[in-house]
Amino acid sequence: MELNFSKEEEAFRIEVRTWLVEHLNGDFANVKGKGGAGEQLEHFDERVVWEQFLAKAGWAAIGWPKALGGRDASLMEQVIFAEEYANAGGPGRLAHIGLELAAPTIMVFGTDEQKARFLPKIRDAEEMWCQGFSEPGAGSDLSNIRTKATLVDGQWVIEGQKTWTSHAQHSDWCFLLCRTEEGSKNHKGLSFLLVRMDQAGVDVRPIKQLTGDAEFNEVFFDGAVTAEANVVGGVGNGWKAAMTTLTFERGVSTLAQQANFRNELDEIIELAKGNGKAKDPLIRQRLAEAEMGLRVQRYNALRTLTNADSGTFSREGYITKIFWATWHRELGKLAMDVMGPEAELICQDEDYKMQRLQNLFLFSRSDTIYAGTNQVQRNIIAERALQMPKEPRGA
Amino acid sequence: MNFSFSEEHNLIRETAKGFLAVSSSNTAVREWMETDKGYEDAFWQTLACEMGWAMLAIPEEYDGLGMGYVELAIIMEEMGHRLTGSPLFATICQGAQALIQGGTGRQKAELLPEIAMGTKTATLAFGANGSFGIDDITFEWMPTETGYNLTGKASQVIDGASADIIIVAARHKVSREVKMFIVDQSAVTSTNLKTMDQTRRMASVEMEDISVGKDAILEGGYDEFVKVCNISSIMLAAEQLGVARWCLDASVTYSLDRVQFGRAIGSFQSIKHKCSDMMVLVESGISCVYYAACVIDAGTDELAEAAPTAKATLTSSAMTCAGECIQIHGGIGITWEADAHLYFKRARAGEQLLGSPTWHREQMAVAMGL
Repeated sequence: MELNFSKEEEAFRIEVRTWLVEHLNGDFANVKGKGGAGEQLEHFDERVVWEQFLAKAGWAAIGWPKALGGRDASLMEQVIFAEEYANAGGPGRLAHIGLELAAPTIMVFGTDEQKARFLPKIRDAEEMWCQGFSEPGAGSDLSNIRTKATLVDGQWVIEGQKTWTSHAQHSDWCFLLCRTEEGSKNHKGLSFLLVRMDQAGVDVRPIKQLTGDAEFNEVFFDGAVTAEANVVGGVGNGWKAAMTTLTFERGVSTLAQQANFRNELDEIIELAKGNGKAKDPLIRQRLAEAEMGLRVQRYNALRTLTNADSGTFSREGYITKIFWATWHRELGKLAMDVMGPEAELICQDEDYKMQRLQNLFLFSRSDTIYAGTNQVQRNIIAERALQMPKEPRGA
Repeated sequence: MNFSFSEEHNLIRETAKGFLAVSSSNTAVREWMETDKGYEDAFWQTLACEMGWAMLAIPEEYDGLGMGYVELAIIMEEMGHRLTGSPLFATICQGAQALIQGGTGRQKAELLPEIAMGTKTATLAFGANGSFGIDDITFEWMPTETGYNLTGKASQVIDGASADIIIVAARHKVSREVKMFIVDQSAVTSTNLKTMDQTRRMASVEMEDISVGKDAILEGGYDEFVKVCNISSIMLAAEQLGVARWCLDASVTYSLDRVQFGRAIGSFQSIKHKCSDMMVLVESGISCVYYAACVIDAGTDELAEAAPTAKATLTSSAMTCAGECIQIHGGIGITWEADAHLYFKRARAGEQLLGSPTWHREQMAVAMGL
């Protein structure tokens, strides 16, 4: 075991830090620190420009192979980049659904034509993506999907409804899990389609959420079309492709979070020192516990990463999601208790706008719900890691 | 950066597991519970010499194997998993640690080889509260013409009545400067205490104006004392990890075996979710304990944060898992016959030993600048 980063890794860290600090305090100072939890739409256009700038400098997709315009960065280098990005106040990423979910799935299951058509534009932030998985009747029970696609004259015609779709309103493409075999059930007969959003048959309606903002959407497909060739992994193999996507969602993309969590916790600690709450013994206990929880997440991530680097997925990988989600939800509550009565007062010069920590408090309630609720995570842990009996399905 | 177990680590663990599965059966544990010392001399000799666990983390120049704390933590975890009765914790993680961190060259050369061979056992006595802040120290020292005078009483000293050597941490009567002293068992009044957890012996250790020679004082002071306690806190956390892991394994096994309403109770979500929550604690606990053990090996200041994190996290986790283990076992879980109560009591004892989770969180709060 060796906890120190190698000389090469430290050199990489300095290179990343230097570049980020230079540009986030220079031309892009306007997006620094923007677009955090519950504020995903803040300074949107400027952040798109920032994403494209990142791509031009070769920082957008560092984990990708060099042949595809990446840097072949190791997992450890990707972590270093994520940490430095958060430390430098890098704005919330907008291209991440394409970069971290669509692209890896296309790399694994896509045809050469699909790779050539889609990957460069994802990398360069020229096309933004959204994920079309959840439906009103298919949340935790994702395989209960009803949106269907039928082949008519060489193209797929899509009917149905998706929901909880982040970024749908400004996405160019959607990767859509839908039923392509009439009468099929559960995970059979599903396909993973790539669908252009800007067309007559697609209707995006924002869902106003508890913060008052609307970051999620409902997406209605009413005769929307896509080319026959835009199916990833072959017709009927959608479940396998989607499960692979979710592995990415539950794995690598959670790593960048910890550095953001660090910033949030530091903000709460500073607040507690400033308003005297740091002297309250119970608040001290909870702040210390939050600090310990964040450190444990880091230790656990380092262990997962080392094991992933050697190609093994061991038991600790299963706990990542439920651990961070639960921790983050508690952090939101702690933030309110540190703010005290002030926590009730939202921005006074606007209609209904939360302050940063209020957004954290409210929005963190979704952490234990999306990407596998805590209850689903517990089932997964029990059934896959502990080999306990599987849940029976209803008729 | 490489945070995974090496082939050698795995070999040490498998060897320990295999050995303890046979020698530290629940029958053996219950026999040790009835003994005065809480362990058997012959078995301790086997652990110390044949298995090499006493010499494992002692530097090579003092006849040890010079391995690291990750290796020692593996042994502590496996012994916690089996509730093995032995003086290893007090001797190696406390007494020998004090000598390694704070002893003079002569003291180390004289005592560590004997400890490494298992011919001498040791412990550390300092207070009554479990925690190890300067105010928690209950012994006082004064210099005399021939050496030092020690006085005071410590409660709940692990193996305090059986350890050959007692390292005593004491405060100067006037200046409050903390120093550690080597004291022989024969020089103190030690009394075994009856404790709820019977798998580890605790004793009170009392000294009334006893004199020790000039060669009894260790070089190290308060900083070294705290370092020793931080290291032993991490090793205790490793033990508690073993306790938590046993509780998880036993709960899963029992719930798959026990049938009610026509199905194994382990097929109910209420039980599955309890077990999942326990696994979250166990797996995060493994990450936490071995990260902290690496920090000891690295010798950095991060010890001041890694130790309270490990101690507070793991002793709470062990307590939760041991409680859930009883719950999942149902009625049988509260009988004397089932082992669940032994782990529950061990978890509870460990929670207070070397500082409660609350105390360790306060140490972290201070380290955070709160």
